[in-house]
Amino acid sequence: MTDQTLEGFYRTRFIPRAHRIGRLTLLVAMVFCLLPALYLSFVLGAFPGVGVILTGFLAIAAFVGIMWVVEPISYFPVLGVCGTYMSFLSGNIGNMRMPVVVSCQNAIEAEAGSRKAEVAAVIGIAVSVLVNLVFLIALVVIGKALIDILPAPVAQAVKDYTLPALYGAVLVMFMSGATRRDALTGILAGLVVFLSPVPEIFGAAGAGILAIAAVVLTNVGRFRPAGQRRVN
Amino acid sequence: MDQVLRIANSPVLWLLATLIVGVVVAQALLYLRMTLSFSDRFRILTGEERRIVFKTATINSIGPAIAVFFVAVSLVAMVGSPVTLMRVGVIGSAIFEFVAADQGARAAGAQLGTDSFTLQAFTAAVWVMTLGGMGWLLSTFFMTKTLDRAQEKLSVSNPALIRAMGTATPVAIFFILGANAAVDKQWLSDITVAMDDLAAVAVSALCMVALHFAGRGRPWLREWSVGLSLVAGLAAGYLVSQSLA
Repeated sequence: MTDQTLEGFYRTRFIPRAHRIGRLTLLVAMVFCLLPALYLSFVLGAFPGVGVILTGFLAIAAFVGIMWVVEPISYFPVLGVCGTYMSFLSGNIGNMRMPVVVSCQNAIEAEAGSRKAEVAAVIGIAVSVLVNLVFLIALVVIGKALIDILPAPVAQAVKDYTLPALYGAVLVMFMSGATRRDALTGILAGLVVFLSPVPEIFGAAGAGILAIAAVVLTNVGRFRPAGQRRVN
Repeated sequence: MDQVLRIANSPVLWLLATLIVGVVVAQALLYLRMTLSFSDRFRILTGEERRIVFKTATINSIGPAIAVFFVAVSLVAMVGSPVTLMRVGVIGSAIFEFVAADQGARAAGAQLGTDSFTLQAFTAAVWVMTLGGMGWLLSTFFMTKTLDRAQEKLSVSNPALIRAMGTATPVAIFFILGANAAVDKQWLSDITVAMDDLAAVAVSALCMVALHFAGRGRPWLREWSVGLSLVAGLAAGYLVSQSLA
């Protein structure tokens, strides 16, 4: 019965299936990821020792450990369920998945938070995962040749300015779809973290979390009285 | 070093890398199929909109993919093609993989790209990249259901909240990413503004504003707007760096 409506189908069929696919593929990926390290260590006998691995691992964990937890939370409102599973398996979230999501939603004028926006996000991310892989495979097949055919100034500009230029354009795109109030909340959250002593590499995740917290706090104050009145 | 690179590019590692890439592709295709059939069943996207989304996603992936390519090229020279393909394909911020490989090699008393980079050091680098990237896979594996439930609860009691979160959060993230790209600072002292980076951020942002207004009556322009702004930003950054040099 509930399957017949869009929302019913979404909740009872689509989302449970999305979690099943996501968790299964992540599990398989985690096992497969370990294989090269295990092969080098125990088939070729080059195991460097637990101490060495731990030293290297802790050096990394010290600067990305927090991001393991914070990033999935701060990107979730845009990526959604399928988008989160896909993006964290394939990486390149800030520099590729997010720009693609907002461009796709914008191109078909889908309102943020609607099912239409979510469908556009899933299709967009899946396509961008495939496009990125095509480039990576080109990388291993033709190697540096692709870079060599670009004129030097172009190569230089792409290398140095892709990220700054992308951030500027994507910021405007997200702002154009936001209400004035939400855009302001976002800018303020970003500004607060920017002016704080939070190290640069935690900046994006930190600003995301702060924005979520700010939205929850300001909206709880705004909506709860109305809700209570309705109850009484 | 030569011997390490021979092993790093050996058929076994190619096979293992292909397995991982296979999972990534399979996952993307499964979600694509499921979502397209969901969309068709409830007529969420029209055929035309669907075509626009496919096209927009492709156009807007190309620029960033080329940029990833640049970092990946230097990684290939250090750890070989298969490991690069699988690491940058999975949880790849190419930069993170670089740092992880470097830390792993250092822990084994070696340096990337030199003769001290023995097979053991290579193995240590692969371990650190693997375990470091595993953190995101684990947290996504365990947290996504909880996040979904939390969001669902919120959306039942307060749908406006979800929309506000989905718009305020990325604004905050991209504001600080842009600010950090253009301004270097220690706390509030030692502030230096990189004029070329600032030009890239500002010009592409302005270009986006212009295209936003121009795109009102021209849907095709909206598909290209991020790509065009990106090109304008690249040109501005390059020109400013040349005029300062």
